[in-house]
Amino acid sequence: MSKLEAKHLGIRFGGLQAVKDFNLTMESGELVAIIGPNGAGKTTTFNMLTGMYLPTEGELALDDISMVGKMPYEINEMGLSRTFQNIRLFSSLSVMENIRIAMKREAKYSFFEALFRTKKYKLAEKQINEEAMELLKLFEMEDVAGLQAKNLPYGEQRKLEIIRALAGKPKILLLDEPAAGMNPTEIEEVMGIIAKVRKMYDVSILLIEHHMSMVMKIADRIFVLDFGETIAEGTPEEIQGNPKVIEAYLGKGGADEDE
Amino acid sequence: MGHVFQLLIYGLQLGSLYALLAMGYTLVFGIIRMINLAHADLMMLGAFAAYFLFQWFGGTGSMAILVPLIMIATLLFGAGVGFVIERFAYKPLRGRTTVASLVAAIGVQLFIENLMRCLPGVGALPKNFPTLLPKVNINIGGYQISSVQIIVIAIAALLLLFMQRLCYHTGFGKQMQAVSVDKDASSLMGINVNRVISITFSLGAALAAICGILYGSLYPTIYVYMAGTIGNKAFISAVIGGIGSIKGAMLGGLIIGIMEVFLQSFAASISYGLCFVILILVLLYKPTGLLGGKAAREKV
Amino acid sequence: MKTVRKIFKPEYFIFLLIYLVIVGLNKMGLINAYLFQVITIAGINVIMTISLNLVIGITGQFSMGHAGFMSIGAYISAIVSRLAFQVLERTALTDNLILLAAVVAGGIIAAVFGFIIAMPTLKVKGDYLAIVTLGFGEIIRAVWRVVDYTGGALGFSGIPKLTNFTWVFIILLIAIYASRNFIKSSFGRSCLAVRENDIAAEAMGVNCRNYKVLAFVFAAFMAGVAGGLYAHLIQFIQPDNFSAAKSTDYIVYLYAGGVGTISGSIFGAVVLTILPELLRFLNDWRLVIYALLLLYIIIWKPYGLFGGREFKFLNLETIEATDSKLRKWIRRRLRRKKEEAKS
Repeated sequence: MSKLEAKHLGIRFGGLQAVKDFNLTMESGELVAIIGPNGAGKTTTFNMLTGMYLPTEGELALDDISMVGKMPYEINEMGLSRTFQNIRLFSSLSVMENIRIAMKREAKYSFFEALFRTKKYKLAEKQINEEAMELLKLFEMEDVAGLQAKNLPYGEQRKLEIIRALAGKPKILLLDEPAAGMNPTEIEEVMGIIAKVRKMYDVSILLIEHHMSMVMKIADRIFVLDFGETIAEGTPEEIQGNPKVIEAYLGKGGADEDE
Repeated sequence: MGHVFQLLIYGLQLGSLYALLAMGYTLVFGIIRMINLAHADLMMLGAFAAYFLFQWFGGTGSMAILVPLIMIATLLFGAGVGFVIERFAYKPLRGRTTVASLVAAIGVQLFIENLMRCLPGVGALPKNFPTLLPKVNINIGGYQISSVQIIVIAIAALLLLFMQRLCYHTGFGKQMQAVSVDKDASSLMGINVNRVISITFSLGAALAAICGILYGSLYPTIYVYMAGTIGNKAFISAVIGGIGSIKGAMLGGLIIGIMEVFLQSFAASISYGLCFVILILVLLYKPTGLLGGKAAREKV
Repeated sequence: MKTVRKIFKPEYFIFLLIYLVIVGLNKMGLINAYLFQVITIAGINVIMTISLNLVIGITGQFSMGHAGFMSIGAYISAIVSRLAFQVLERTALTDNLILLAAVVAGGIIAAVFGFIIAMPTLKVKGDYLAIVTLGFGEIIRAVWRVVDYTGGALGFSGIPKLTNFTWVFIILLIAIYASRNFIKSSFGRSCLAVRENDIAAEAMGVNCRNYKVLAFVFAAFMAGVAGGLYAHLIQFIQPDNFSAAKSTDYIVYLYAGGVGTISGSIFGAVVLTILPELLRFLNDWRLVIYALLLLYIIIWKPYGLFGGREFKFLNLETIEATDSKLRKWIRRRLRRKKEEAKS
């Protein structure tokens, strides 16, 4: 059972406190969502969790092993895997190759074993290919396995990013706006994928999303960020009724006008 | 001490030439992030243009009128060649990788050098550059300075100041800066991006062509392949100063010029290599050069 | 039957055929000694271009100082063979053994330098990397100019002629296969990931820095081997043989053939090495034609002369070539989806 823990996490860019006093404890199998207006510090939080930014204050640990100061690839090896808000696929490589890259930990052979194609190399590669294909089949992408990633339709690219993040068998999956720029049918599909991931894999999910309806439906717990501060935390029901949240989204007085 | 002063003058004259050339590298890199390896060849073309102009019209009129005319003609010639190169070799590659345009620059370089070599009257042999600038030795406090040196340094300084003003104090300069930051946004703001890039290229090319005359006046042997090491050193100057920065080009040119002259006097065979050592040390210490801005960090 | 085909792959026969034809034509006098030498040099250039492709084409790191690694291989191997023949007699056996030892030694030392240079160099990115690698190439050249033991700026002469076409051909085949196997392994894939998107690569557990260094060292080794072959073919090397112009030659071969593909590297290096020789009747104009051809390729043939394809025997994915086909395929699929939605 894995546990992600952030205590008083914060980051400061020069004079700007981008995120302040962020506290999160995630238990295994949970789906936690982070919401908030644009510029609230959601992606910055993600970047701190995945080692892309070095937090200037606070602690961060996975299963009681500190993650602060670790490089992004080390954090990925510890079991955190992410997607990106602006899609970052290996765009001129094939879909299959994208998945295979993410499965590099399965490739347990040395450089020279690869150059001379030993039995060990062949077995490992066979296994990687089979597993990658299985994964693609599970998400109904096997017929595009040979396509260049950049040639996929937008929605499929987002999907591929999620699958790629899953391919490394992470303990925690971080999804940065997986439904950005999608229409309601596509959002429906993304929700289906997330549900499938939760069912098939023992993985906790941390999600940034703007589509309220989606977040309210699938999240176990929600964090609301505004100007880098956590202004509310709780179950979807609790959040929906929280006046602070409404104020953050609609501005002061917005809540009154609604009534 | 006198020796040092003499070397300093030599360094200054060489440095101002490097600075002029570095300006061209910096302008082009600043605006389309391309290393224009063919840039120094425009200097060679400028030198040859002046050489032939003088051969054809050398007898007519007084030098006081002829030389400025030759300079202006060379300048226009350089600008024209720069425009054509940009239009036909580099423009089609806009939007492709920087490496593609780098290879195109190599192609242009090969083309210019070898075409010149094939042209009748040019050939591979070095030519003696005519004495265009008046040559009088002036004695200042016991040190010999030639009037050519003074004129070259003065012209280079004037041109550099002109560029500095053009880039930071005119409307066109603002357009250039805008294009260098974001082409799409600039074009949305009504800037004719293609025109700005073309003009920038031509400006750099014109500076290089003038530099050819100045170079020929100081070191009166010109040949088709003269661009090679000079171009590389000017380029190093631009990078050390901070490529994309006008002041950086001047600073870098002076540093490399003066350093080279001092190194030449005791370690001639490795001075070229040492320029690169300095370059790498500077880059490792400050990856964008001495006066370069902060490296843009990619947004995640 | 299947195992038989596995052991005797058709490509082996093609290689053998190419080899026999070239050697045969030479023996018959149809390829004169000069052209034969050019073909051998083309083979060495192929090794260099394949090696450069690993850095530029696969890992996406621009290197403009590749001739520097070649010079290290050339000089070190020449020193090894000089020392060896001070104690050994020259026989057919020692010739070949010494060549092998010298070339491998050159490769290893070049790889060591590749490592030393890569560590600080790879801190800088993109265009700056190009400049820094150019600088290292020139610095290495400056060092050879002042080393007295190897003749300084005048050059290293009296290197025994140990390299022959057979050796170049064998090592070339090894280079092709090693490079192919590298690309098709987890190591090569990680390098591709660095090329495609270093931030995503890092997030997927790829230690970008290590893989850049790996590609650099591997490529430097190959370049060193090529340098060793070159030194023992030309028999005389000097620092200026390995100038920045030489490095740009390889970049040109790579881009003309098709960057990122092994087949393109082979094709580009062979064609552009032999073409200027065939254009000799044009005298000085041949280099003008050559430059125009290069400009034509870079502007109008973005995937190079070989069109981004790979030879079939390499068994590599080539997405670039099938690109248009796949686009059509997608369009068809979208149309089908639309029709489904309508009905």
